Amino acid sequence: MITFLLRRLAAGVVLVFVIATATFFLTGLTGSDPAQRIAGTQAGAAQVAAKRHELGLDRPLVERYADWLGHAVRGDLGTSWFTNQPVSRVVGEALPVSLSLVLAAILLTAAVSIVLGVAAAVRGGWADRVLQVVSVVAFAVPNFLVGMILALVFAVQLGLFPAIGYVKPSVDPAGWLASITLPALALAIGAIATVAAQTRGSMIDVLRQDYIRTLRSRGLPARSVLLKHALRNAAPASLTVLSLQFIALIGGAVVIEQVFGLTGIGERATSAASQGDVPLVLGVVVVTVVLVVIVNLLADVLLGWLNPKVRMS
Amino acid sequence: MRRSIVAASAAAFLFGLSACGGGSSSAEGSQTLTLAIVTPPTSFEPGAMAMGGPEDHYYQAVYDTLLALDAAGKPAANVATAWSYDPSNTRLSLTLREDVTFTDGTKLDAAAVKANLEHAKKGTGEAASALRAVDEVNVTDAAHAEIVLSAPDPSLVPSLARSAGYLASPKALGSPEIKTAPVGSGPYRLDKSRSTSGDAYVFTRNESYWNKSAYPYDQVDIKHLDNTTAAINGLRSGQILGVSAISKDIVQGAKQAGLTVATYDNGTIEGIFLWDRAGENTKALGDLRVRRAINHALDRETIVENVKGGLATPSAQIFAPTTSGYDKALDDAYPYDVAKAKRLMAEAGYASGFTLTVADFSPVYPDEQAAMTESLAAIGIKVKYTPITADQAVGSIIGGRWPINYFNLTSSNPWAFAQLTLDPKAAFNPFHVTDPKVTELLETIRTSDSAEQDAAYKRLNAHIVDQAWFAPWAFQQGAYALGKSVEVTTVPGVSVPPLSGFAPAA
Repeated sequence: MITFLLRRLAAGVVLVFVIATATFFLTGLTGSDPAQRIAGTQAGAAQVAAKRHELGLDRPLVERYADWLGHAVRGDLGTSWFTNQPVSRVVGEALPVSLSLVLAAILLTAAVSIVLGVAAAVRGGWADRVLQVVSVVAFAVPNFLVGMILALVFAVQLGLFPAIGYVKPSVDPAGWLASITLPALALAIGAIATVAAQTRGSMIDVLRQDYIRTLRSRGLPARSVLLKHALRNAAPASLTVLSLQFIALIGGAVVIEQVFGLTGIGERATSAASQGDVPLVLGVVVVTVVLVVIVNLLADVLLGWLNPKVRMS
Repeated sequence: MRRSIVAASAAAFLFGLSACGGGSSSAEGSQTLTLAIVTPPTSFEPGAMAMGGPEDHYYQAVYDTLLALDAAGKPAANVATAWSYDPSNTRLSLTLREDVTFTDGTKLDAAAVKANLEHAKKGTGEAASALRAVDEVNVTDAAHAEIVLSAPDPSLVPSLARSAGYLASPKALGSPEIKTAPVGSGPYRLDKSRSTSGDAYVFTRNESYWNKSAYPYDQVDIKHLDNTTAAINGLRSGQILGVSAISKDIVQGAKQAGLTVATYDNGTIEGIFLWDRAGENTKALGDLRVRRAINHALDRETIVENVKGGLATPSAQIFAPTTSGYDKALDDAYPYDVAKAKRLMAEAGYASGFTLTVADFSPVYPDEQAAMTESLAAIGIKVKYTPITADQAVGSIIGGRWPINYFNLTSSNPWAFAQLTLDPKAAFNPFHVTDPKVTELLETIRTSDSAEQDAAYKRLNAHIVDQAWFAPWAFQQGAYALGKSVEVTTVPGVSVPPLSGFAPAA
């Protein structure tokens, strides 16, 4: 297992390096020149040239890359060209926003989808059919639309939640929970549909296995058969889908953050990309890839714990 | 079944707990002014910021300006209580208040003014460009300074009421910290510990500010918000009290929600800017008849109604209504007349039209670009669009890559506008087109006194319209959407109402 994890870790490091390098050269080769935009429309040629020099845009691309990489491996991701803030600080402030959303959405997804999936598999009949129809509808509805409706009803009309903004948990825990509830709900809807459908399918397969019939015939309590034996064997497939959903939710957060005026990683990524703020784009990309690698590793560990066959393979 | 009820109850509790926290963040009714701005501040360093966009609110909170703008958008006393030029218009004398102190305890005096102007002139922003004629700043005594110019500059005084006039503590100037930690003498201080960079900025009252009564709020919170839905929801829920209505969606959304939308002349002219007016790369544009045909092809009234949601004033001229160069008669210099436009095209030898390759600005200005495409198509001019990224837009225009573009630019400071678009070396005269009459009139404006200057501006405006250097369609109206508990006094010629213009609703 340790060798397996070390191999995955090494692959993750290579992945971070390759994606960061590709991003650097892709942004460098677009011909973007944000100096004029930073200096302002009415800035003269001399001011723009001075800004270009200050940003190092008059240096060869390879030289700039070597410089960036040298600093990045030491943990210095540079300074945002537009806000003059250290990239590590900008990302460090945005990351908790996105992680709050995504983790809340994942917890919600895990809890709701397992209950729904197991219920549909065990009960069958109308419960199963309702779940399947609701899954298709929930999967088809874009999460930004769900977000807009939730904001309109629960924030604007009823005033139960804030419509925009993020509250740090260290400042106000209840305010933090309120600020992420609607966005997390909007984000989780599609994921719940996907994971619930996966759980239902896996549970139906497992419940048809001979060993389940044997356990039942030996008189084990139904709850024990269901939760200790059937669900544990059905869980790896759901967990794999859930870990994939985590990555998809980070992508989905880009839109949801905009709808709720949250400055998370997604909002930072889109605004930095549209402005041509290369250091911030690179910082966001590096941190996001590292996050994805960590989540995949954790999923591997969890799968290994649930199913020893994974460790062996 | 029992477990389902327990699960449902737990979910309801969680939901309820969350809901409890929602109401506390409302800004309505408090002495905190919460505004939203579409862009975060780039830098708080004097000389590095933009001249007058929506981000002005960040800077107005912490910095005093040498001069202010009055209700008509004209320069007015602020830190400088009096100012006057010598007969040659190359020496500007300033008299300063003597009761102003920066938040680090440094006195705001003539030496501080000198340090700021010299620092801003060396900067990389628009303020540096505005101060280009400044040769030196002399300190007469603590309360008097003299700005010496290399040549007369009619735009200098108005610029001192904008970002070129921001004053930071001389001790902080040049330090790397000032980019994110301003030290000014303005009505508020930035509370960095409660701010999140690029997202939310908290400004608390500067208790020793000399003009506290002009700023009724104890605290100003500014949130970076660039999504229309979020802006409208924030206004409707009372979480924000004001946002610049940069799109007609925000205007319509705010009006539908029963909120107030304050409108004002922001001094920006928009339409088709005909860069290659000498026909260097696109021969057809060098023909005056083609440029006039383009002007006649614009249905300005309809564009204003459909594209701008009525928030603009149709016009074919370049100088804003608040300026001395404005001439109402020129608004309708090119009436909408497609038949006449086609005749002019035929006379110029382009009866079957021609094709232009233009930057695709539709991601930012979809309706404006559609209006341009449709108007030009009506007289046979086809437009092929080339995708570009947002950060390439201005650079590619200045580099002379496009013959025309949909564009907008403020002309509330006519000399600055002329220096930016009409002068042969101007950045937005990318093909460096020269015209002896334009050069002569610019020289007259530069060297003359007020009355002669005003007349020259009018003659310059008329000449530019006659020669169809541009095909403007309207002067924009600024719009600012407000929450129910706030009212605002607007100032013409600027993109957002000044921070001092906000007050709790009566």
